[in-house]
Amino acid sequence: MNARALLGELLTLALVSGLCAAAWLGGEGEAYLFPRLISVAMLAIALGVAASAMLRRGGVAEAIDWPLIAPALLIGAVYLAALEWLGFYTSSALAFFAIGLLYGGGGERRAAAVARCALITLAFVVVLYLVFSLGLRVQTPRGWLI
Amino acid sequence: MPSATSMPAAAGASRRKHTRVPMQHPPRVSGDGMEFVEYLPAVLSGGNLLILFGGTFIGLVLGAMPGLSPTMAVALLIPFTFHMSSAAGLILLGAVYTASVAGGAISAILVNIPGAPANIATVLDGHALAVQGRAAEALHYCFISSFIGGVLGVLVLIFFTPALADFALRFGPSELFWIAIFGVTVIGTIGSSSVLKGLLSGAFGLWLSTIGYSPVLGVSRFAVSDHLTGGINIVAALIGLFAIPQVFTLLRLSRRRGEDRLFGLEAHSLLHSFAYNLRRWGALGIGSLIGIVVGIIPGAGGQIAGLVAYDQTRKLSREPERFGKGHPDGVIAAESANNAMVGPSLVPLLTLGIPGSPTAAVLLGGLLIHGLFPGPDLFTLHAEVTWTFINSLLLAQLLMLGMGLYLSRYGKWIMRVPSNFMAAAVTVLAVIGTYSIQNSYSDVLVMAALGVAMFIASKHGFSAAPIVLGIILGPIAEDNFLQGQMIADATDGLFAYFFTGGANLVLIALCIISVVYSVVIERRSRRRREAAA
Repeated sequence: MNARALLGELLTLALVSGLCAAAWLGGEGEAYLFPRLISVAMLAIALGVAASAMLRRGGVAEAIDWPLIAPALLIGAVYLAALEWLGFYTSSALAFFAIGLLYGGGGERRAAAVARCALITLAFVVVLYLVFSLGLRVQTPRGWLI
Repeated sequence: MPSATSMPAAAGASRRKHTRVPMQHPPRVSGDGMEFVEYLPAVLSGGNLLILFGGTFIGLVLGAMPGLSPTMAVALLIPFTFHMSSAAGLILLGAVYTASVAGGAISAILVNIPGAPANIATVLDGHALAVQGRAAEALHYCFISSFIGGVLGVLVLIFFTPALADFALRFGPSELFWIAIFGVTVIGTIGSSSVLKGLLSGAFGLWLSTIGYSPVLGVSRFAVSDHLTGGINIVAALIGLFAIPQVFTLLRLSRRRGEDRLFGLEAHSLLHSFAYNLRRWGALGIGSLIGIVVGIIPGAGGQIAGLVAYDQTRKLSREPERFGKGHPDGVIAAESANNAMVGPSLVPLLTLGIPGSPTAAVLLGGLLIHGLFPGPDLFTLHAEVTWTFINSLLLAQLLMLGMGLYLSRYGKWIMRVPSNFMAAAVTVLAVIGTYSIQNSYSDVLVMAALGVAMFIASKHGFSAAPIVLGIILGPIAEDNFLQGQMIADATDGLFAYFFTGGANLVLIALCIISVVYSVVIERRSRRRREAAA
């Protein structure tokens, strides 16, 4: 059992304790009966998981490659924030372009990579528009742009 | 903008409808066993056939792309079925499920990366054959055995499901409550790094399902943010939990592009492959039989079917030493098993609401959003939709064979789609798919939050399938629990109502057995690992 895994089990126990407290202290009445039953079962299982970890019988948690995924998380957050004020197609194009360019394999000149990524993004957004707006008539988030 | 409801209207209707009391004189579900023939023409109608073609094509392409699983493919497509009739929507999802399991073998054979978990066993001999310059031959065996196994599996679905649905007519609220709990305990023991973590994931899903308005009493619960007022939408949760972690997997794959060697296809007679496949009836029979049995067992899935079939075929073979070095029987057993599993995995799903695999769990979400609740009603009130869907699975096998053999020639092109663009496309499709459910920005935020949390949790041994099943089965368990409580108050009391009676005791015993059995298996495999280390 590595320290990361032990920390994970303890955080899980803390989260489950919080959910249990919410179920028991969140309100009164029959509406809370089922969540209370579930939260007690969850707490018992989480204690079992934590005890198993303490006894060094748990597994090993995998490391998260934060340098790899942090830029994607940032792009995702900006994408979601921009969705309602820039519009779906514009913000999707920007997110698609950013992910495509940032996580591209390289091996070609920067200008060529940017041009290729821009072309693929344009083609993707056009297909999206044809399928969703014209074909399926799906309502998409609209902002200043489309 | 907070969402108004946690489910689309159809799903809400199904949610209200399913709290039923046992009928006094229930109509029989099963007829002469040939009802499916009556509904065959419905699949062959122009629109449905086109959707079947499209679904098979999409499934094969998505399955062949490393990093895109059948479960994610089905989850991502569910919102688009809103714009279709129930039958057409289910045909699309069923075809994608069938074809993506087989399509995963293309990348397993050509690049040594299983396209889906169900194709892990195919890598062992399929890629070895490709290395020997026999890639086309391996792909032929793969699609022919997938077709034979798949057809046998769907036949089991056709003939077993109505009988089991008849049996389900006898269930009241207490039995339906225990069935929901059984579903969570069974799938909770699959996919996670430990049984306890699987069960915790399932219970967490049940808890998440209680966010929002109480279905019976109408009281708002745990809505700490405006975005949670309407509860957690099932489809948003499905997409978040399955698609977003895949985006991160694809981003990781984008960094290892160029390391994999793609194998070209040699000229190989298709007729010879058919004849050879049929001569290997031993591997085909073992694979199909194991696939069918594993499929019917709730929660097991294609990965287990393929690996068990491969292992048993190797053990019973006269030349076990050839396995792992390019033995065609390895491919035939694994592929016939993982496709034979598809049909039977829907038997417990359509009758009891317990999915036979993680992808079937997602398909359950697809049924619910179309207002179709698993159980006898599917074969009486919704017989046309249900039989059209089941028949489409049979035809999908045929299309999968033809299109798979054709498309596998272009497998190299499919797999050359860069992972970074696939990740970007999945992200955008996840957003528009979630938003289109009920035009709710809140659903998109919930989807993204669940997805990122699932990615982190997966690194600690938690799996998405039990959480999803908990969210899906939560309302069923709660509705029946509250309804049972009301009946119990008027009769013998809570304990007597939920803990006595033959069916209740059998279901409680099954819950305990599934957990204890999984703990025993887990301990045994840990001891083996420690001994090997």
